[in-house]
Amino acid sequence: MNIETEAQGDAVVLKPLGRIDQNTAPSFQESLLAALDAGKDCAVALDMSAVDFLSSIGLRALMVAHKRCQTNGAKLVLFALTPVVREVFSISRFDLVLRCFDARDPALASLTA
Amino acid sequence: MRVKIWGCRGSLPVAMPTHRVRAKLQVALKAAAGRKFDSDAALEKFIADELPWPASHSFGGNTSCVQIDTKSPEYVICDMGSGLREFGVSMMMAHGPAKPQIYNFFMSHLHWDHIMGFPFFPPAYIPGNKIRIHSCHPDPRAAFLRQQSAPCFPVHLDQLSADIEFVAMRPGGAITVAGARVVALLQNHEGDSYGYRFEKDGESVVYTTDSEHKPEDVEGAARFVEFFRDAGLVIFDAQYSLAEMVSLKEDWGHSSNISAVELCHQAYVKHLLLFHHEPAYDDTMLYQIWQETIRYEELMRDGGAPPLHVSTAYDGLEIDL
Repeated sequence: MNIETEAQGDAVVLKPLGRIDQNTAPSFQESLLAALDAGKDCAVALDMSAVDFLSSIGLRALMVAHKRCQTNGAKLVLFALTPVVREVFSISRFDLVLRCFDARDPALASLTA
Repeated sequence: MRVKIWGCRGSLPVAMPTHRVRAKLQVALKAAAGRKFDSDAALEKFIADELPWPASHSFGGNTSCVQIDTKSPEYVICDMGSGLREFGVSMMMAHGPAKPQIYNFFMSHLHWDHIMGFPFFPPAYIPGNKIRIHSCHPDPRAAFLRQQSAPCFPVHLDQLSADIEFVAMRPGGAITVAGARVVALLQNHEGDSYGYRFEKDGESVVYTTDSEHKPEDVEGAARFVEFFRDAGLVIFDAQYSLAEMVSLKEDWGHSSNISAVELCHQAYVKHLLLFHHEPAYDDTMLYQIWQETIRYEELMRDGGAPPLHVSTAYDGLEIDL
């Protein structure tokens, strides 16, 4: 999957592009876990503004990343979810598990709080 | 074929407590304030057309029991949850003790919530009735024996007067029962469970409960897509949210509305029925999950694909195929 990466202070912003489905979820998960494992107490912000589709296997990849954070002390937040993905988060109850923000700045601020 | 839901709850029977009855009454009375109803028919129309669904309905609280009416003189029933008691009572009212009937059961598995109705199934106590219990498990009789022996229940299994036969099935092998072709499929659940596909006269119903569909299990999904292929109705275990299913309740053996829609879309299923409802959820929550699933189906549907009709099971629901 095509993912843009940008260092932002002590955090990393990952921006996946396109669909996260059966074909792309494995590489998405691999990239996300690599970012969370890159050092001690990594902080990762996922820019979801270019994700227009997310199936169950994509959601599972996010849950795997969330569990990794619980074991290695890393932090993960998401921001700028598209309306469709926001609805999918609500229906699947992932909005109760993952920290989601409307915009980039508050998302990054939460990683340093 | 016609399908009737006698029990739709997962895990444990539940009853509606008084405070929930009163909450429904409040909604109804507020909606009716200042209105005049000239007849019972006008009142019925008001209830049907103007009250919110959760105020005018209840999902009920019986555990899994589904009748598949194949238009045969023999009966076909999936699982023996607590809903079996009401089915049995209706049989006694319809036939009385003097007209023996044939009952064909198909067991998803032998966990308690799926067999607990059998000791309360009146036809089992009537000589002349034939009860055939189809199961893919190696020794289903042992579970029934354990349930109906001391100290669990006062009437021993061997004291039942009906002619009870355990019929061994194997996954993949088709049999014909009550005029329908029946095929079983192994499912992912503690101790194994099995789904059943019933086909007759070009119609098909799949009963698939207590089955966990892991999003990463691509091969498993392909097996189920083939099993569901072009089915008229799929009765699907959607007890948990996807978030629960892949975290806290992973490997608990149940699935989600998200997995239901994805598999049914891939298999070109016509009608999805959400089933095996979480016993902790009230009518309002289950209604919300139903509406959300309808929306998810809209969001995920490929352009040009025919819509998947999404319903939710409640005790007493009947669906004609």
